[in-house]
Amino acid sequence: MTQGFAHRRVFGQPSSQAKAYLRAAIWATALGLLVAMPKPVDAEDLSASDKAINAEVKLGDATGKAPTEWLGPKPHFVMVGAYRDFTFDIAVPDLAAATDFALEAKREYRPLEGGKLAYIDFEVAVALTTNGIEREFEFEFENADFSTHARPMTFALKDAEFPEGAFSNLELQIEWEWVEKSVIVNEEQLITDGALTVALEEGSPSADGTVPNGLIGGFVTGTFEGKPIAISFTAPVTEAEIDD
Amino acid sequence: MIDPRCLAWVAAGILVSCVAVQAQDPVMGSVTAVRETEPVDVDPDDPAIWVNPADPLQSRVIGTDKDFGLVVFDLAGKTLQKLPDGRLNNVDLRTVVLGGEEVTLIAASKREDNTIVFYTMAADGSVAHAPTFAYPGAPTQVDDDIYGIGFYKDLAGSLSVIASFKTGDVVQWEIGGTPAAMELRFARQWKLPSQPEGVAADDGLGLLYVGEEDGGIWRFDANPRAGTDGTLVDKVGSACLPVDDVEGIGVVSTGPESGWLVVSAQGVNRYALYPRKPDADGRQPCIGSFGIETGATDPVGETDGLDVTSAALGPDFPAGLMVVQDDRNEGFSRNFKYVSWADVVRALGLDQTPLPTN
Repeated sequence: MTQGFAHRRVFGQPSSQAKAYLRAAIWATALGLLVAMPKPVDAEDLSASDKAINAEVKLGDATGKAPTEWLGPKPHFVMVGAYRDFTFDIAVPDLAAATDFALEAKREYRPLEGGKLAYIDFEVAVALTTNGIEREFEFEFENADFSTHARPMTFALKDAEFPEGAFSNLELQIEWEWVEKSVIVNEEQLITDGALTVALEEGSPSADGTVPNGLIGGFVTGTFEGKPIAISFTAPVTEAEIDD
Repeated sequence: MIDPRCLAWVAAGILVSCVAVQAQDPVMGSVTAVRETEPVDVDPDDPAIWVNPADPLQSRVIGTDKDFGLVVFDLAGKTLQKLPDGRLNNVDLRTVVLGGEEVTLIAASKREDNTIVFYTMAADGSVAHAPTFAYPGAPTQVDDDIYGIGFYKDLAGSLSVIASFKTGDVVQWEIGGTPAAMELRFARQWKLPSQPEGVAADDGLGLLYVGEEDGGIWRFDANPRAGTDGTLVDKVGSACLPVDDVEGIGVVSTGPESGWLVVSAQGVNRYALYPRKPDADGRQPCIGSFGIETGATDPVGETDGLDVTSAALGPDFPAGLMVVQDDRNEGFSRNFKYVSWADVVRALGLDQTPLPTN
């Protein structure tokens, strides 16, 4: 700031009074800038230790070992890896025994001619509290019709809406507020490098043909910006919706 | 408008330089909310503020709860009324004279059946279904949901309602008849390049703003008989809208032509401000943006629907009230936050004279 001001030669060399004004101006401007600058509403301005609190999501029997396959039909959630600046080491092997943790899934359908439904989408939602911060993650998968595939079935991740065949779209969303620090994290990203294996689909159809109950189980591996992530889940289904 | 940071430079005689900097560099600020409403049941989206002319302290905030209906709050944030009318997305209101009778109409966009539903606001702040509740949102079928909604009341008092659809369609209807037998007459329909949501009219200047979520802020002539050529006020990727989505839009009127346009920039959890009146070249360069950080409430994230009034609503809101949707609270609940407009004026160094003191 001082340097830039001194280079404004159009005003010539300042007098001593002008220098006093100049000093006042510089301080006032600096103060004004400080007042006008936003306080942190993202993680960039945090201290190193606070950055770690914000970015390291560790919960349960975490070992740092990424799952290499689906871990079975007992409701569970294991997620190990990294996404952007965030690292995840979450191990909830038994949902029934978990505290500060919620896991549920939702199925979505699209009407077809003849009154049938295509099972086009499912979401797995996680809510947990770590380091005193309530965090939510959502994983949404799309296919032209998941119900037409045998299980287990592996789908390559792809940037396409409701892709046909052995492909799935994956949208990852992570959200939280660290209230004490005014930090807001809200990230949505398509993961297009990786695979989803759907290992379990169970539940009882309701009158409208949807299955708003039961379980969805699967295994996901993905890579984004060179950072891998692996997830095994078996999630209770609590909702179903027809997208008309 | 001059950035107050530049005042120090005035002493050194380089004001002109500062004005140039101000024109290029939007001011970034932050405020805190004064209070928040009680949580809604499901998922709030868009609020509308009813200023009670008889007693401003008894004004109301009407909010949509997207999978439930409408919720009515008082200025303390207490839930006064719930109307379980389905998937209401956006809401707006105006007080008008219809068929010789004054009425405060509330309109909401209903996604299940692509209708515009109407309510009336009584003098005591209670909300009821209008005698005819639901009207088609478009003259012919639109292939995706109705989304945004806004009223436009011209200077002669004629009322129209504008609905946006996820397809990009925008439909404007003129409203006539009486409060007991309201009539909607199709006026015009046009299309934005991609999905819009927020709709807000500047009644005084006859301008209509529609937010294209991934595109930017569009300005149109609000006259329902006018053409549909639009001007892109600001586009996603700019300093004030660095990433999508463009969401709620509000007009803050502080005089016949003065005030601001406030736009929710969801991707950065902030609100962008523009001058209300376009300059001689039709431009409305961004003045700045602000976020709502931790204070009396938690911060506001994933900014969405909003409404603003410059009416003084008591000592907590001496220069007006801004109400915003908040997607996240402790306990995984959601609600609306109340911000004193005077705090925004101070945070961004806006010129609102006289600015009442708290």
